[in-house]
Amino acid sequence: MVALSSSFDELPSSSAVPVGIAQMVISRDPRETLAAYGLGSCVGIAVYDPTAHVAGMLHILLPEPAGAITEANKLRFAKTGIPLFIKAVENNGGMRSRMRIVAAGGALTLGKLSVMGPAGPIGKRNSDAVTLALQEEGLKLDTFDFGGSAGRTLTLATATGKVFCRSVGSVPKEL
Amino acid sequence: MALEEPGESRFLLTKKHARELELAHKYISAGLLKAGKQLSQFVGREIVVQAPRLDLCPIDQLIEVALGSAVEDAQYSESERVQTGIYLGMEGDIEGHFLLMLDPADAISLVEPLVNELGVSPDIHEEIIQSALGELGNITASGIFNAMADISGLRIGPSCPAVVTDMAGAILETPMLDIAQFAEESIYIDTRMEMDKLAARCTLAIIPRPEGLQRFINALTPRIVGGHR
Repeated sequence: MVALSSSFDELPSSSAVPVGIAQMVISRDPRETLAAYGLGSCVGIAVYDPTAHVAGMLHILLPEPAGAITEANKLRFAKTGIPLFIKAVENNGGMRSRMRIVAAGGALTLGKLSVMGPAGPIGKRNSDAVTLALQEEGLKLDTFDFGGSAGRTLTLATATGKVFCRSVGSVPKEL
Repeated sequence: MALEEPGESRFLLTKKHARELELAHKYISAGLLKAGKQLSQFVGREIVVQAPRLDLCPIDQLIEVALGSAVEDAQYSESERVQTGIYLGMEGDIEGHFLLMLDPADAISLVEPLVNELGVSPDIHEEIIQSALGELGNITASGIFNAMADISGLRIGPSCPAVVTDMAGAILETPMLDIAQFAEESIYIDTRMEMDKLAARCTLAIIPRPEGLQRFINALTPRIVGGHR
């Protein structure tokens, strides 16, 4: 079967810091590479300030809350998670004007059986919600890798700010 | 066909529904046993299904929990381990998701002897493998759904199967994300199938939507009060 190649091979000194669902990680440690593994319909957002050498990654699950928002679930949603995330990067020395922002995910991993919300497939709604939430913060994506049917892993190296996205059976691509 | 003792549960059942889930576990184990017999007939080889573990789990942790059961010493990076997922929607009085995930090589080993016996032409071999895997999911899901229907009196049936091979996290995310829109926790069931010397560890996730889960628990409650345990 298809094997996954690892982009970490290029960075032998770095250690991968996993960013799970509804989590964010901010790092200024040049030895670290932030990674959101196995993104399906979820979206991973990577932010890097090359002057302050601050890297951040957020892993959102849904576009916006349907019910009550709690402190515990704010990071689950694009709408509530992104403002918190951007603020956290700023608190660690990042400046909005210098931020490079990249996102990946929002796939339809189960094809036609993919979960449909009231306003269409959730993967697409997630990627739209990320773009919108950034706009509301006065920010925009520099580049993105959205849609399709394959799962993705998104990585961001704190030392270089390089962002890679990889899928099963394909070569990792730099974003 | 044999049913082995389950491993000790690593997750606490939500106390409120512990008795309902215990009862559900008994019936679902019996359903899996029945499904195992049918699977043995389907693939023409002895299949041993381990008694399942059944728990409620916080929705944000579902992927971690599912992958932690699927592999020893699971790490987050297990999310990108390549798996074959057999997905069926749960339809009727309880809506939700059924997902059977296993190693792609194991998946093929399970159905290849059967497909080879059919002597299909090479150009449709892959398609027939996928179709046989879908049927494998259908048999397993039907066994469990029938058990859940018997115990609750509710109507539950499977949709057509979808078979995908991709990163485990990406496959699990889709049903989990549907539930996360409405709920904070999900039922989670995992088991293992063994065929001859091949130990095909599979992760089985049965994830009802909250209204359906509530309906199911409500249907079980009188049976517990009435002492049918």
